[in-house]
Amino acid sequence: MTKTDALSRRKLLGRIGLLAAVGYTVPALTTLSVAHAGSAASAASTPSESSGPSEASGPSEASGPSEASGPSGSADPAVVEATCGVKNLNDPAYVQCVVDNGF
Amino acid sequence: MVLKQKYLVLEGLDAGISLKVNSAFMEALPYIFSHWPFEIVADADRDIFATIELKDDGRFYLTSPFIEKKDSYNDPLNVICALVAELAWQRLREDPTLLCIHGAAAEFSGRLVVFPATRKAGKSTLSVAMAAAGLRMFTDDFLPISVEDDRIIYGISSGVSPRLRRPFPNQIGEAALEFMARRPLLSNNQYTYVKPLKTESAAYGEAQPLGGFVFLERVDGAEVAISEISTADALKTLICQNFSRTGNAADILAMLEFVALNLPCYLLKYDHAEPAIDLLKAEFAAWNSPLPRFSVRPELENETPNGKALFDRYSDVETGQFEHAYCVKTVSADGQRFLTGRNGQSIHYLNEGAALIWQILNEPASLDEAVEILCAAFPEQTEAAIKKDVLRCFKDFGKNGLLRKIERAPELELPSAERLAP
Repeated sequence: MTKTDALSRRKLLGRIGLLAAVGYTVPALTTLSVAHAGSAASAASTPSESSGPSEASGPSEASGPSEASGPSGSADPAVVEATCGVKNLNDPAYVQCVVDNGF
Repeated sequence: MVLKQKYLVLEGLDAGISLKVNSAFMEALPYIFSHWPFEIVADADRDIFATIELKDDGRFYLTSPFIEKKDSYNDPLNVICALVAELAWQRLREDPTLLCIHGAAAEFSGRLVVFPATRKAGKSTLSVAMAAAGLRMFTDDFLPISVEDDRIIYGISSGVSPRLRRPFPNQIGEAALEFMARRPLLSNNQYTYVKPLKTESAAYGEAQPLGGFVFLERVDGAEVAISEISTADALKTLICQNFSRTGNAADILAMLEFVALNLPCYLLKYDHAEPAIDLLKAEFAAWNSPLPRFSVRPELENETPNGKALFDRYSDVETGQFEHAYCVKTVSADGQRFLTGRNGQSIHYLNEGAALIWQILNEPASLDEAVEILCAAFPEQTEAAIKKDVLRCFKDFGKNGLLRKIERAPELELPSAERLAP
């Protein structure tokens, strides 16, 4: 590296300061919370409100707005059936599906 | 079936609920609003924010201008569950200075310990087990919080009975099962509401200062253990579990940062409720520090009426220079960044890589300049890989109102030498 190159690199690194000491990480922005548009709060339509213990309120994907957290509502049996199949509490797969989806 | 038109009016709310329902619905109300006084009236002398109607198909329909999706329920208990959720939102709509946390809360030695909702946390199960252990319940689902004149942050009781999912997990413990056996219960095949006695739950509107946060992680077979959690992790969960989304995001972020920094935050790993409660009682037997006083801004101001404030979105981020948009509030905790976007309507988390690019944008920079800086910092990475990452990050910043494009004054077209010539 020439002296000029070194100076140029030092100048570039000055823009990020000590943060450059951290190893490279693929940048990710996660949206944790988004305002409801006006009166768009909906009681039973968001996943965490339909009786889930907040499984959908935590962010998981970069830059995708997370579902709004909110008080727990009631899961509609039709939604439960559409998601997990016909109710069968003796079927471990059904029970696991209900638990995983927070119904 | 002809059902009489009636109205449900709950204490503390200006607006009421219009009802055309059967006696099963009416009989369920005292079980669920056990500590929230209400009355059924014949005349609507107030605004109505929701309607519940039992129709000829035997289903209860909950409608409201605030609910986008029309839902119906085959059971009075289920429709009241949905109504309870809607009431939480209504409280926020009527008092935008409130911030609301999705989680449970119980009183320990005169202060509230809040259990924010996290996946499979078991907050309702733990709430009933705590009530059985003699701890006064404030909520098992949502806790409005408010800054009072003394600048202390208080949690406010919802006055709603705790609701357990059926079948009850074994981990709830014998004491809770015995407790429930001696309390009025209201059940369907999905849920059971447990009606606490008068002294076992705080009445609607009763307030106690916030003492700390415990983030629950229920793990099958785990030995109970409590450990401190980082401010950044606590803040991240609190941001996700607040649902005060009509307020200004900068105010919400400021208050949540304050509580995450100034109140003890723990992670509780547990399986069975009873040993977990013993540990919590020991941990919160006494409070050694004075209550922190919030002095950043005493009120959460709604600066984005109808949540529709305009902000600049940039789809083309490959040309021109950009820097931080105006009015972005940034909070750093444990080296991680949280910032507000969309002109005060959203809160975002940046990982280390995105925080670096945000740092670069402290001064105007183009996409290519940002790539050049990162290539200099990380020579082991290929330029193509870095460019792809930076472009995606710029686009994310651009669509969330985090960028401001630097407008250059148009260059003056100088007259050519020939035209200048006499």
